[in-house]
Amino acid sequence: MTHQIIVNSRTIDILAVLMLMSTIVLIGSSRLRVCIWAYALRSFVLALVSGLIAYFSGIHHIYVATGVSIALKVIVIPGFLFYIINKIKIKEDVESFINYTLSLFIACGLILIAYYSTQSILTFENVFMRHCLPVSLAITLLGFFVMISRKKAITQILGLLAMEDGLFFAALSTSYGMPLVVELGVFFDILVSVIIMGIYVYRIKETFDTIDTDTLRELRE
Amino acid sequence: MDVASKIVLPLLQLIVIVGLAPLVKGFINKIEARFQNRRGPSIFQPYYNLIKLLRKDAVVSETASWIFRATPYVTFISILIIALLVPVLSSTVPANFTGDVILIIYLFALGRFFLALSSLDTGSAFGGMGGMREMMVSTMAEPALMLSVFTVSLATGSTNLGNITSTMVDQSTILLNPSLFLAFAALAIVIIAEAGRIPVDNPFTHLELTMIHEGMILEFSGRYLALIEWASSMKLLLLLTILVNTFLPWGIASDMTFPAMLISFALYVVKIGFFAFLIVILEMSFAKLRIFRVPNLLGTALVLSILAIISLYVVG
Amino acid sequence: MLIFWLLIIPLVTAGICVFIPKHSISKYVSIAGSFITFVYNIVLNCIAYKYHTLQGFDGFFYLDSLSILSTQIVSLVGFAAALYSSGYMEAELHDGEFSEKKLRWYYFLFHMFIFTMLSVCVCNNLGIMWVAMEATTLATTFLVGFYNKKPHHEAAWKYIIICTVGITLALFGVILTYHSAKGTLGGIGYALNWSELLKEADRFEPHLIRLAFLFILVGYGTKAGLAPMHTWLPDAHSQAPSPISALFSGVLLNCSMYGIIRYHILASKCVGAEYSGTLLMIFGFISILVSVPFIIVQKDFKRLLAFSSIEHIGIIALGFGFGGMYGVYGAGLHAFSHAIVKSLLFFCAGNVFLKYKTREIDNIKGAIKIIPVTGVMFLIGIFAITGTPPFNIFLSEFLILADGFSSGRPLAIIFCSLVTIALVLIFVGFVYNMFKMIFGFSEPNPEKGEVSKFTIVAMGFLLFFVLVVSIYVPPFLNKILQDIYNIVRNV
Repeated sequence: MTHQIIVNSRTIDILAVLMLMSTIVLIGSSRLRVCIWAYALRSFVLALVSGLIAYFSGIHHIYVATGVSIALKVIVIPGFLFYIINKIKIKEDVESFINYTLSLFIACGLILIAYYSTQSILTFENVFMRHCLPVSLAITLLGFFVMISRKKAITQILGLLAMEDGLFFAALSTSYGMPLVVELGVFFDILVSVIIMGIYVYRIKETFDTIDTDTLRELRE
Repeated sequence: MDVASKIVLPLLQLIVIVGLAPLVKGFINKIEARFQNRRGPSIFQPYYNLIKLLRKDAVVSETASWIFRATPYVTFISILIIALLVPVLSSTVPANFTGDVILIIYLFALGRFFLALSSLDTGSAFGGMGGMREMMVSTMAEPALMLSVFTVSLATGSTNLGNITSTMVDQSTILLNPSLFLAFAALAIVIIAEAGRIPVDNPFTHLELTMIHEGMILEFSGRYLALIEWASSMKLLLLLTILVNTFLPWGIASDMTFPAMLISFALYVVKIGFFAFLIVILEMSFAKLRIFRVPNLLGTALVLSILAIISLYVVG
Repeated sequence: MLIFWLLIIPLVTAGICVFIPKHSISKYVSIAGSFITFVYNIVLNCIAYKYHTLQGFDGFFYLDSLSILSTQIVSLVGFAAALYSSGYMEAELHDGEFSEKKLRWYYFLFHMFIFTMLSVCVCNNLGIMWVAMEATTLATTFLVGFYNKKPHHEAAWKYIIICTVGITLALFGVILTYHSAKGTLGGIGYALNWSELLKEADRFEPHLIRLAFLFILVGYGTKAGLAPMHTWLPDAHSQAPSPISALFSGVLLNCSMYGIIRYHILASKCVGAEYSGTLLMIFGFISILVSVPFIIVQKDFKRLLAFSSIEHIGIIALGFGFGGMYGVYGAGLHAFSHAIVKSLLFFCAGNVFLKYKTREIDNIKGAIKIIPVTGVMFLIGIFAITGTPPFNIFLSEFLILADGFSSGRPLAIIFCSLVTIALVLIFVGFVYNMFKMIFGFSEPNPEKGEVSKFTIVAMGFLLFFVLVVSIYVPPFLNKILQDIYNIVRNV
């Protein structure tokens, strides 16, 4: 175990933790714009990680994924989300079914679960990048939590994106990403699904006059 | 330890902290003014204010008890003691024999406790309100501060700030620990809250609805106010010093030679200046949070610090 | 290359449809496109059947009996739905539900939907399969919300959110599979090809494969409508245009089930059939139980059919979960019969809806007098779907339950006993609710007469298959189903 490898893996660990922090912002912030910026930041860090992993491992196809990731997740999707919230003139505050401080602590619990539950896997996996798997699981769980606890349709999209980021990171850190063609397909799906959801946010705003998904309760038994 | 380090170092440290603290405040104000396209007050304005205040008589409310009079001294002295416990220019700490990080936290708390008491003492509505808010902030900031400092302690194996600093200097890879990164982020938020800066508190406003720290010290005047102002600027500097010297201790003097101290001092000023600058950027880009949103931010800090210590414990 | 064309045909049809503004032309293009897909698929499947398995593009595509069954269901129901669409959508267009311009997008998305489902069934690469699975959601969201009204928006939003979350969880399963496979296979590109994975499956890390299967089951299970992840399903099925509901119920659920079964096979080889089979059994059982009360008290007949789909997908899961010869054979047969019968029912429901302009069961009386052909087919469909002899669903349900009872596992026997009771209750619920619609008489009723000839042709086409399979299981279907058993048991 050379010094260089330790430094490399520690660097990626720190970036992983940075991603985790930007996901915590998504939970703790009450401002939608801040949440979108946090998403852009996380995507950027994720792209950075994938670039670094490509560099350290010498697997060149990861660079392609890095480039696409920057273009899509750092520029196009946040831009699109900003466009949507400008267009529907949303009220700034994010509303939640659970108050913020409590949801922060639930988030904290989820992260701890992620850390503890991955220990059994980490013990027989490599000793490097020990924070990556827990962090990726944590981001996925946090995204899931955001999706079920938040009222605004846009925040649900952000939760979904967080889940996808978490999974992408898991793939990257455990097995240097998926095969390129799969990864591109996944990117394409994410892009299209965000666009479709954006369109629906707009339509829901038009017909229901709000984007609180709380009001979507006509279809019941 | 020779005589020089026993006498010179504490003196030097006190001079640096006590002397530089108002300057940091002046520096922040000046830069902020520059960003807002104002010329702003002189960078030495806090000194002038202090001198002016020290010359004036203190007016004390008739209903105030001894606590009100004692508070400025208690606050100032507790901060002075902290100044002796924190490594500033050298990784050797003057009061090494007793001082550790738990004591520091409690000394901060002591000062705040007396301030809050005195704010209730005069019976003024604003004072009481400010005191309560300060306590609300500190209930969440203090555990976060403790946990993040303990994370560092766990990683370095010591609760003595001097030892922490020298371990950090010796083993550079410790710093690359993600847990410490989390602790650093938590500590940064706590410092903002403890120092009463935007977005938690606005040090420039005396609007009754928003003030926290300023509300608490509203009744003080003259030399009392001077001492409290001075102590609060020293508190900011000390918190920054702790941040700088635990997480970025590069270049700190490990022996008592003059050149080493000089380099250390220069780097120290640069680092503190950098963080002061960051505070300015932060204050420029955020509006003050509504008071009910503050627990949100501090909760984030607390969560980060919990994560820091647990992830260090679990992953190592 | 042969398989490649199967995907190209619907894609091209979709591309053409979007450029034809007149519905009078585009409906024929759509029918022609899906007919060619149907016929080509039969030819392709005959070839694949002959060679046992078929691969294309360096192992990118893979066709075995499991895929043959799935693609056959897709293209058959797809063709019927295209036929039905032209009649149904024309009637809706006539009533001014939407503009003719918008109808182009309907056909475009319709054929994209067929395309994505076919891709799910023929892609060997599990990652691409995931992409295609997600693409089915994306292609259909606008179809669910096609009418652009409040409940449709709500249904579409629920659909895309719940399904995307589910499928995102499935992605984790894919990643875990890849991770564990990479250790043994090592290669970059092949490490997600199902046929390659299967060869080495017994050497994978069991720990990870167990976790992966759980995520896949929850993820694809969401799309398959397995309870408790089924909540999107009744909304989407009831709000989508009827031909799309038919495709959802008959085909999409099967495609998702197909995805689960692929992983079930891998997991069986790695950690034994017990683990994944039991999970399938439990989810299937819950789905059947959940659907019972909703079928009995239902007020909306499309929702009733939707809950019935949850029940039937549960039965299929149960069959694969039992894992015996009869169980797997029955599950395959059930998938096929359910697809055609449920599509037929949705077509009938669509006709009833066109006539009465309501989905409330209480507001509909005497359908058999007003629309006699539809009414009779509806009646047949109801008996078929509830598993009344001599219809084939009776046979497949019987086989599955028999397998459960004969397996000797206590859990399976408990499940089977309860499912038998549930099936009776469902039969009662179905007959009680549907007979209110089909028979009876009340004023005022809409005028007599079927709405469109196309819809009748489409329904007749499906009815033909329903009746044929009821009388006897054709030898090639029999062979394919046996082959599926061999694949699932990995013999």
